Amino acid sequence: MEDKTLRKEKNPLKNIIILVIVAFFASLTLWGNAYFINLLTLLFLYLSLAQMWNLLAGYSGLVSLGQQIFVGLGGYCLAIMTEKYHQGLALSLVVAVAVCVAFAFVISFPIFKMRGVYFTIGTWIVAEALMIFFANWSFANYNIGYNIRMGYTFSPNIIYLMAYIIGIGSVALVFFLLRTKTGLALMSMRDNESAAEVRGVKLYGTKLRIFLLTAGYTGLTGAVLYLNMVYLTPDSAFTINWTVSMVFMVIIGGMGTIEGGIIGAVVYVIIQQYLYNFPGISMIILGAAAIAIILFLPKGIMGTLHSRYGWELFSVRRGLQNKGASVTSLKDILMK
Amino acid sequence: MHKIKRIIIAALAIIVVAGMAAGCGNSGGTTAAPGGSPAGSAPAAGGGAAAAPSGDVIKIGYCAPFTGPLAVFTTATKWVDQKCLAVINDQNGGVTVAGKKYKIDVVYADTQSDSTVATQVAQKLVLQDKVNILVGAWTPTNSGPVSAVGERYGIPTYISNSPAESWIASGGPYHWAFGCMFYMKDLEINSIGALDKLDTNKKVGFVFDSGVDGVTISAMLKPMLEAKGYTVFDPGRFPQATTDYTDIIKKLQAQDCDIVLANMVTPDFATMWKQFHQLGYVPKAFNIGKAVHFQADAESLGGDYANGLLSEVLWDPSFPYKSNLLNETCAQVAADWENENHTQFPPTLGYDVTLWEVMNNALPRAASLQPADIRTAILATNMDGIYGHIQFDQNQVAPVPCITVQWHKGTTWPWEKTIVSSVTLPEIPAQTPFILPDTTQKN
Repeated sequence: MEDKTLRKEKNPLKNIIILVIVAFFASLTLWGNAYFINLLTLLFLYLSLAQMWNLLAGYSGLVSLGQQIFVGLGGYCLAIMTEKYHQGLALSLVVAVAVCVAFAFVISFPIFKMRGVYFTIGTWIVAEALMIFFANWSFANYNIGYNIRMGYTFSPNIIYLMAYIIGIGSVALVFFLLRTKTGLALMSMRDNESAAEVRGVKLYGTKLRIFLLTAGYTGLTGAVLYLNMVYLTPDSAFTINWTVSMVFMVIIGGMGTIEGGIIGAVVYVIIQQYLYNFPGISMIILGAAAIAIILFLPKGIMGTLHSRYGWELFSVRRGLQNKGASVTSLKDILMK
Repeated sequence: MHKIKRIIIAALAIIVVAGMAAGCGNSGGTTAAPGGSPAGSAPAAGGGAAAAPSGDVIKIGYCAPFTGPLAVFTTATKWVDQKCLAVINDQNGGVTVAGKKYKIDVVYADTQSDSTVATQVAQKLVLQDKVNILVGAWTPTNSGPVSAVGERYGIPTYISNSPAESWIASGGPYHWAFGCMFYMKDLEINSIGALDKLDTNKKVGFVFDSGVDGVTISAMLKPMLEAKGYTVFDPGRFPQATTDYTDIIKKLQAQDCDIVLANMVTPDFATMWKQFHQLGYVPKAFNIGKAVHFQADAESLGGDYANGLLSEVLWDPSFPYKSNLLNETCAQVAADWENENHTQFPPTLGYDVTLWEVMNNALPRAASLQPADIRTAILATNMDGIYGHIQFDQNQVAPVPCITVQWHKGTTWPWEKTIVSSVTLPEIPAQTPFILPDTTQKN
């Protein structure tokens, strides 16, 4: 019953829900306890990572296992700018974004020549190479890494607000992007690349723009993550674990959906914190949960909810499984 | 079809639930002090954890690698903790701070040998469990992030075992973090001391990977060796987890190096050392850092591969010291372990016991349980214990010995070690090392 009313009065109710949620989290700094704030800081940052990976893999078909490149570069830019050059946070974040976008642009030439699984492995290799490079780079303090002392000076509430803006911003960014022409192009590419190209979508240019956008945003997220973690080494900055967590969040939440990333981030961060109480078997539990979800809910939690009850919060979604969807979905949008 | 699906779901659910239950019983996450009141160490469900730990406990958040590649270092952690806390909490009834008795309560957190996880669990201990003191134990992977969390939240943070130089280089000077560590310089002086006793051509080959230790140690060793008349041949750093070392080995062989110095993790070393033998090159002396601390490491090399290897050692029963907490000599503590666990003593015992000696010694001197007072009290520690004299220097490091040993076949255990160089601690007797027997095995 509720689903129907939801669908009927689509816009007002949804907007109110979204507004209430946004306001609730913003007000937390006034009354939330320190642990809860820290948990939510992580949650919003992981949410941003998930949204960016989802945009890249779920919509653009660029299944990258190398997004830790940008988490690490973002963190390192922050560390080097603040620890070595004693610059302020704003400039450090700008540099982090700029370096990530520039680096993504440079590596796009070789790795965009690869497709599918070759692209996936190519991105991973770049990340591994960077890890070794940073471990041997005297400029970046070798493998010793940095304590990011700037993080000591910020109150957890301020870092939470930054994370909050980045997290909500990532959702808004993906949402509004998907409503633009680029968004149409992305969804048509996701559904059928050849058909999209025939209808005039510039594949290379669109993919490149998305790759650069996600690189910059992931780098920004990485920098704030490390502002909160206050310690980084090449091993932790460029570890594949970052991308594994992104994949985990997106797959359990639902690939190719905005809500999927949100659900995935909530589930992942809470499970992870809870499992710290069970050293030794936490990985087994996490792995079993992932296997169970992939086996029984192959479209993820949100994908299943949507196909079963037709419920969705952000209405940009077009069926992933729908054959020939590119044509119908484009039509749908044009007719609106 | 549907039925089968349901059965599988049910089975998976049972596995997960059983796993969680097992985790609970495992005393994994949170543990009350043995014999102490199990006061409030259960994880708070929502937010709203109690404010400062009122009650009568001092909470210590212990971050250590209980799982993952560094897990071997925590072999004795809980055994030592029980033994020491039995004295502090049960025998002495706790520690007296500002006229009030407090029991010590340990909350364990597994860093999974991963520095990102270490940060997150340390933050959880500070923010949710509200610990009074953080402990970060074993290697830079754990000491670095836990120190950083302590500095950020202003919590006294005790680091147990990390090379002091790289700890200082990554975030020093520290205010809230301090610890019991060894200086890499001592390690190197002793390892060169062992080489000095041997009759060699004084040509030294380096095999150091690009890890923190590899980079730092190789840079420090070169000038020290050259000052003592050694010729150093360094083929350069290489990534960790390399599987083919033949190129490096052939270069060292071509230089006719009688001595090879290396620092790597056990699996990497096992691979490389076999390749040395396969290529028919066994130098007269081989010092391998980090890889062969435990008897299990020596055994894992297989065959006689461990025989004659030189390595640093963290602590040894032959140290002429006595624990001021357990009231036992080093030999007695090691014997206790061997009698109860039927395995060779782990050399981590020294660090594990020292933590509790420092706490037991310092906390009664604290003016209150305020972080600043705890910090002042610990930094003022000046005592003799299982590691000899413990006093913090200007870097907030309480330096402890790191001397050189040689592995050989044993009588009680398959592999045993003998101290062969203790230049920095002349009170510890050292033997002369033997030259590596050339038993090149063609596999």
